Amino acid sequence: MAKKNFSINIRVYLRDTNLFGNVYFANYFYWQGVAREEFFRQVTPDPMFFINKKIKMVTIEASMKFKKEALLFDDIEIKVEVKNPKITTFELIFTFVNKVTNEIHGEGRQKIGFVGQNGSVIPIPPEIAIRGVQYI
Amino acid sequence: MNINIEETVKGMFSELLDIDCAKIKNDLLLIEDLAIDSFGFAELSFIVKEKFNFEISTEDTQGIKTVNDLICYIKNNLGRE
Repeated sequence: MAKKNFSINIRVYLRDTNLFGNVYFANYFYWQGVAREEFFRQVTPDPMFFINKKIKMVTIEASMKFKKEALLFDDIEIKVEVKNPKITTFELIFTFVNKVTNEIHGEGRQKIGFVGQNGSVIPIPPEIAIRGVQYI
Repeated sequence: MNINIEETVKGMFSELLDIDCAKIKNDLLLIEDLAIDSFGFAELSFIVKEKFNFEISTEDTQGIKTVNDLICYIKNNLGRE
């Protein structure tokens, strides 16, 4: 099966920067969240999938490794890949790439799991596993 | 069932935690040494079901503190469905 690619594009604005003119570190986590929402919009059968199925998504771990500062008006592509799928969890890897220079600003990682209606851990929903595996 | 339970259990931890099988010692504590969280326990429970065809009950997980505890638990419950 050919690997599918997923990414979103963002532009750095003044509101995203700090006193030193570079992107405030917490915004990378905000952008991880935006990229993740778009990713799940792509891999779930419908936008209300989690609500209809009464499944909660749990962020077990989230991290960022910063490599090069991003500055005002930088155009950045956030590439999302699926890694390390298990029965109950998988990881999303976020690579922040400068669209002009191709330099990597940072790499993020999230470990994600799911709980059912009664709050107990459930296997990755098959609808997500089947579509998500295309992004490994 | 003709399988080496100790080897299989250590292989489960090795795969789950992405560490060398040789580093999984029997006396290692699941939470303190191997950082197994609630998702880790659930994952192990699903793997046990897959490999040994029985489920670890929620109450029983409380008593499984070490790698050896899990090995003994599986040995004691093998054949139960």
